[in-house]
Amino acid sequence: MVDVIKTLDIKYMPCNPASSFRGLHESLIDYGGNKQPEFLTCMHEESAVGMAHGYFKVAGKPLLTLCHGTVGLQHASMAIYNAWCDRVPVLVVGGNDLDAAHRPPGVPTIHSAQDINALVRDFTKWDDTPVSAQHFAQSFVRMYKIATTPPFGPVMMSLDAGLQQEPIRENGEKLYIPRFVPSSPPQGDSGAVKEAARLLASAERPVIVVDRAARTPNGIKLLVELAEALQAPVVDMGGRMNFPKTHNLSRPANIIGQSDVIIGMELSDFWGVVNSYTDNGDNGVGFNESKIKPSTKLISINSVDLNTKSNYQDFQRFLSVDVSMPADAEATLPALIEAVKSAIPDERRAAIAKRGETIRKAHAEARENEAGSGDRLGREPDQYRPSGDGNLGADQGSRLVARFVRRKCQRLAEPVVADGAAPSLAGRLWRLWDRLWGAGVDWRGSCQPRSRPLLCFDPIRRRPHVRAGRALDGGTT
Amino acid sequence: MHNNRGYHQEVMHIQRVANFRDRVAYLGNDMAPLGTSIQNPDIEYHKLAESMGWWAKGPIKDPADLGPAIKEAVAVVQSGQPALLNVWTQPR
Repeated sequence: MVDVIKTLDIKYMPCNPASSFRGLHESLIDYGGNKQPEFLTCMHEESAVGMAHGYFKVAGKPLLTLCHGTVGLQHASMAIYNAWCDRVPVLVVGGNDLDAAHRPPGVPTIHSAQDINALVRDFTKWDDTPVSAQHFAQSFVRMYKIATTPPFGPVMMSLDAGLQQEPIRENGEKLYIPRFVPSSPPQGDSGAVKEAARLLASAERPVIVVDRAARTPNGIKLLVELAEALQAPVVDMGGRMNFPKTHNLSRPANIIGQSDVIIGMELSDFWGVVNSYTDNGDNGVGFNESKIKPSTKLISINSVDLNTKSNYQDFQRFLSVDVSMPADAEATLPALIEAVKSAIPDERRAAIAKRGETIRKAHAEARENEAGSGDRLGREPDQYRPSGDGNLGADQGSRLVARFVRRKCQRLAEPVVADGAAPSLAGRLWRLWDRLWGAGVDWRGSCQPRSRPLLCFDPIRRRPHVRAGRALDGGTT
Repeated sequence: MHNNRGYHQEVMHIQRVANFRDRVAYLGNDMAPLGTSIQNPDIEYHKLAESMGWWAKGPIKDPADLGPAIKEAVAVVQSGQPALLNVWTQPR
């Protein structure tokens, strides 16, 4: 088993130790030398899976975690669900003592189950329970391959404690380790790519919205190339490092209201990008409002469409789009860029260049405002004072940190204050209201709600109205 | 708090499996550091308790300090407050 694991070059193994995987634990240390993977002692399975999740997002490589069958996996399950929702591969192996006649009675038997994988089957890409060493070899390489094929996701293996300790019996058959060959990521259909390119090339105000689009540094380069070919603004929802914030086509999300074509790439919630939901309507009922014009054309490239399950609702609200590509965005980008370049008619090139100039100007102005004039109230970080209750509001804190980071490291800079016009009248009024009533974001985000007159939206009359002072409660989060 | 800095049960499992496989278990210093111990750094549990409003003391490594500390802790509990003593013990 250790020989198989070592072929996959897994650097670390964050785990909370447990008797049900003692066989593999001992092998990894005493036979494997605690290298590839190296054991990282964790205090809880949930944090162990969380470490694997975060490591992948930085390093682009999955980690292995072992957990105790039943109870350890119960601990791990929420973090596995988080990895599923964030489409991150994590290799989870749960020790489980299957042989009821030979496993230790008492607690180890309470901690055994027929099928531990059932706990997480609704939010893993694949799972298996190997019953021989050769079966383990095939399944481990298979689980690695499945987890690391877009759309990524966590995978699960139940590993029998008896099998971990059994001597290898070859039974005349030579054991082998299957070679890992990565699967090529799924690319968008050529007809759909062409149609998307046609819409983007002929658009007056195309907008590119990205969330988990760049899987690798090359994905960032490709996004820059597409944005520059179109001179289109890019809104990065931040699920991955997709697009440089310092690039002059990087724009805040409020610009999408002006668009006539939006291409969403690997968006975790396309509905939420083009709609707003406000949870403080009258009668305690939230209401929806579109952020875009009805004529706006929507294009989606999303690999998650290839792997949706039924029970958990991480797929978000249903949204009808005009071109839907169930495909990996990064793998589709080269073809899309070529198609866009050939679809741009010569007579539009001057208009596209002009569009780029306008965006560049807005970007430069926003950055200048960011650098020179403090926050919305014109305060510099050292002018921040605690609010009346002695606490720093959540937005004040985040601005303070963001501005500090920006000064220290321009490349990591993140525009925090949205600029430009809000998409709707209600939105503009809200911004005005917020400006008048101070820097707090009591509406949501602040952990220190204050009582003040509220600007509300009446969903029936479809107009804003003022409701006299009421402290907002936790129900708005 | 009986702070043996370890998941000691698991150390014994590693030793047992190594014996079964007739090889030397790499157990590091006085305990297996590889996946079964909580050290480097030593967690200051008494400070964790203090951060949550408890009276706490530690790490108590000298047996001579234990008796007086227990007396102090008992007085705190009798006054209606919770108390934690972070006492270092041998692995097993």
